[in-house]
Amino acid sequence: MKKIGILDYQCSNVFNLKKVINSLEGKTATIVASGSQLQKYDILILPGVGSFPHAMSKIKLNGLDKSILKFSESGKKIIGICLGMQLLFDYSEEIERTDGLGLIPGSVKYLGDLNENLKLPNVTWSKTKFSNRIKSEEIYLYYNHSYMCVPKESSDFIATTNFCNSQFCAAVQKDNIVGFQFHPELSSQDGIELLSSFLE
Amino acid sequence: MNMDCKDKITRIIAKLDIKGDNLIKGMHFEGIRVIGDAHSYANKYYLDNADEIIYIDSVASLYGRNISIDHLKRTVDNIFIPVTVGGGIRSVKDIENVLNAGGDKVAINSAAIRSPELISDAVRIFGSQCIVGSIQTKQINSSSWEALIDGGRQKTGVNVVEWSKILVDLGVGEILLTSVDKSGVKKGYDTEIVKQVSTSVSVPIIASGGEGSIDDIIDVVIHGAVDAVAIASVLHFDFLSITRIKELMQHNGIDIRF
Repeated sequence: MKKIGILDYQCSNVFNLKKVINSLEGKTATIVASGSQLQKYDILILPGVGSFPHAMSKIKLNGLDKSILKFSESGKKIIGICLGMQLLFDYSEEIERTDGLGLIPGSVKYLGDLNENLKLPNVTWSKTKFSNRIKSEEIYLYYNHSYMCVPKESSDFIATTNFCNSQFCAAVQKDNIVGFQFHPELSSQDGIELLSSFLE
Repeated sequence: MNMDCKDKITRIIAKLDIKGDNLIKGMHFEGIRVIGDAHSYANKYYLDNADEIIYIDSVASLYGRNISIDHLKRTVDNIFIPVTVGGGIRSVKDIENVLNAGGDKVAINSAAIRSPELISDAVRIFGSQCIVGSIQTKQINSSSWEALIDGGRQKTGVNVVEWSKILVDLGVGEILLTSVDKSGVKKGYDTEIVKQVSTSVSVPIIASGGEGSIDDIIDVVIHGAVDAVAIASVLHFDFLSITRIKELMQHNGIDIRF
């Protein structure tokens, strides 16, 4: 049984994520709010909603950032979802330049820079192309965001999608650190299967 | 449909008006008819490829009661697509309860007009992507629409286009625009006000109320410049399935998700 911890730092909507994981065979998800408890889990999920600076301040408030870094050093998998993915990077330009966890080299930029005429937040189901070792066919996944991750190393990209004819990073992986800009837990059967494959 | 960006899909959202455990359908927001078990309908639309579900607690909305969390939880239990919940949401605590019962976003109408700071507070706590500004529209003359509250029964004197701009300034991530005049009449969406709002604000717009045929849906997508359409009657009464609607939309050059 894989023990999966979903970090609750008061900036996340964890109910549906937990519901999805607990529906999967051989996996159990627990909401975890304290940094000292993290090591008990095999995989840590970092969800997140709201603004980058607000989320980062909440994470730092209880020293959770140090616990997350310690967890990552143990080599166990961390999966960031939506804002949780963005927090994995060096810094974000949202509102004011704010340092992130620095687990993946790169930054977080405003999606409107790609196309200023488009409506934001980008609330959509978008066709997403994964690198072949993960998934050979493109799948539709649900996105709801105004900022995007820009990894420094192209080798860290594991999926891309389009925003009005411009490509951006949909998913990232650097060793044991994984990030999804989409919400797999809200992306119907394809999203659930994808999430499940990363929880092995 | 966004003309600047043709590769963006138009979302097809099944809208459920709920009373207790039942899916209901009203006309002009009055005269309610029970259609069937809400949970079965929600599941049917999820399996038929709906992009999202909108769940409106009609009792809470009409009678100023709190949203029934147990009914919500039961209805969306097996749904793994975004669920927007509206009806009687008046506080940050209400939003928290909804998110802890399977909702992903909330739609707020009456409480936003009565106390706009609820929207800015909610956006600060839950993020823009979670807060949908809901507006019920009534045409008052050839060029002006008024926002109604309390399940479409109470006038406010608030201009719809002006109010939509304020909602966006307060931080909502989407606007759900429901025509009280057209709801349940099955003669088409109120494309004119949908277009006015859609071209006035920078966030995605969901058109709701009035669809009776595939032509109505295509019309509001193309001429109303919306990002998403909420569909109720034609689904509930089995005139069209979601899959069929998507096929017909695609046939008319509109990008959808299969």
